[in-house]
Amino acid sequence: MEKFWGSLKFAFNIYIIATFITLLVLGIVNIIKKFTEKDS
Amino acid sequence: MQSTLKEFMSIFPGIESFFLMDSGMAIARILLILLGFFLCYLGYKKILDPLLMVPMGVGISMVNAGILIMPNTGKLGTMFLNALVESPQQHIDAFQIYFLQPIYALTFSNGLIACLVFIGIGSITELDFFIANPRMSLLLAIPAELGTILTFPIALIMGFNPSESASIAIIGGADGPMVLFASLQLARHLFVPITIVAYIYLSIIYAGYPFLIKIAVPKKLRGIPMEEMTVKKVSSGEKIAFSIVTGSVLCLLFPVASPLFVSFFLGVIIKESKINRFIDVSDNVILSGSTLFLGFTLGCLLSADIVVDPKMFKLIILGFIALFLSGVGGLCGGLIACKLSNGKINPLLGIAGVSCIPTTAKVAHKCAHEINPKAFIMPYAMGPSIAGVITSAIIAACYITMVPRMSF
Repeated sequence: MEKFWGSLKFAFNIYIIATFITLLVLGIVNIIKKFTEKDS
Repeated sequence: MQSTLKEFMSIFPGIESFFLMDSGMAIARILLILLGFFLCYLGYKKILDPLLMVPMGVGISMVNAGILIMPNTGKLGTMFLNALVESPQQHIDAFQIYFLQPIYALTFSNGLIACLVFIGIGSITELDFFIANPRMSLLLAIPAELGTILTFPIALIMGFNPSESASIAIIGGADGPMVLFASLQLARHLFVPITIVAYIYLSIIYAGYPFLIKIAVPKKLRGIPMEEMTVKKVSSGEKIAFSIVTGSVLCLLFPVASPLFVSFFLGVIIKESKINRFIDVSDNVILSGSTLFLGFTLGCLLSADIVVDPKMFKLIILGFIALFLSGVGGLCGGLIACKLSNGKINPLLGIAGVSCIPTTAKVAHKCAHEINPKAFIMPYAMGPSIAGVITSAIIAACYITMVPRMSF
């Protein structure tokens, strides 16, 4: 059971990292939109 | 009588091979030949995705029928391909004998086939809604990765090692090329059964997820038309800038998964650059050709010894769990988004976050349209679907990078 909880914790850590990187992608989209809005 | 039978068998070595293997394997072979017929039929009838199931079905049935004693090794084998060659000399010999060996050695063993499919997918992907509403798209895609996360510990306690568990968990990302690429990186010995299970389940999604939607989402919410939301026009320049910046950042963070990122964003940039010659090649030649050889070669790799492996049964269960949990997670995300937007967002957009572009978006649209003929949510559903591809790739990259360093 310890193995299960350990691996679940690891999987959730990956989920958190992936969420942060997803938010980074969101930030990139917003920055690009701001730049292109200025251009137009 | 016996010598006549022996002579007959020597004329038809395919039939003889049934008597040279143990009965369990012979039965598994017959069942696989029948499975190939069945998949081919389901593809032909468009019940499952014909682009993959027809070549895969042909491959499965014919490779299991065409077994003979190989003159070079004296063991049972086929004239299709040999996945077990290792040394350079064995590779050279295999190229002379097996007709699919060049395809397997040059496109499967290094994951190129998955990258070619990704170039094609990129070149047909519409980024408009994703860039117009990135927050909604990405936030709906995150909960739809639930299966990718929860299947990992489940697979581990079912007896798989961490690398195998991660490869199986990526089935929850609902992206065939990604599963193929990740399993080649993490669990090469299991890439055939994992990828075949993934592709068969991904073909069933179109029929299976509507049941889940009917159980989980109230009828009233399924018909939300989303008329109040408008999709802003997005310029090609914005899409190219997004692709090149995001692709570079993701390659910087996860170099090990960079072939997938570069392929997808290259496809998008080709499309948005409006270079018609490249668009024709990536859409008509690369995507169609790689899908054909992906399905056919995978089918040809599915031999009886893989099916009789006890791990196969566990894989079938885990594949189902992964996609079921991702569907549940996606719908939960959709329901939360619906609540937070005061009923403006159709909760079915959540299921579109389960990647599998564009199938899940089509499922969401079909289910909404059934309840309310005025509900046309397809363009909105494409946003979470594309975001699903990106989040699945990020999670796959996290697994590929981190799992080999971990011990449980």
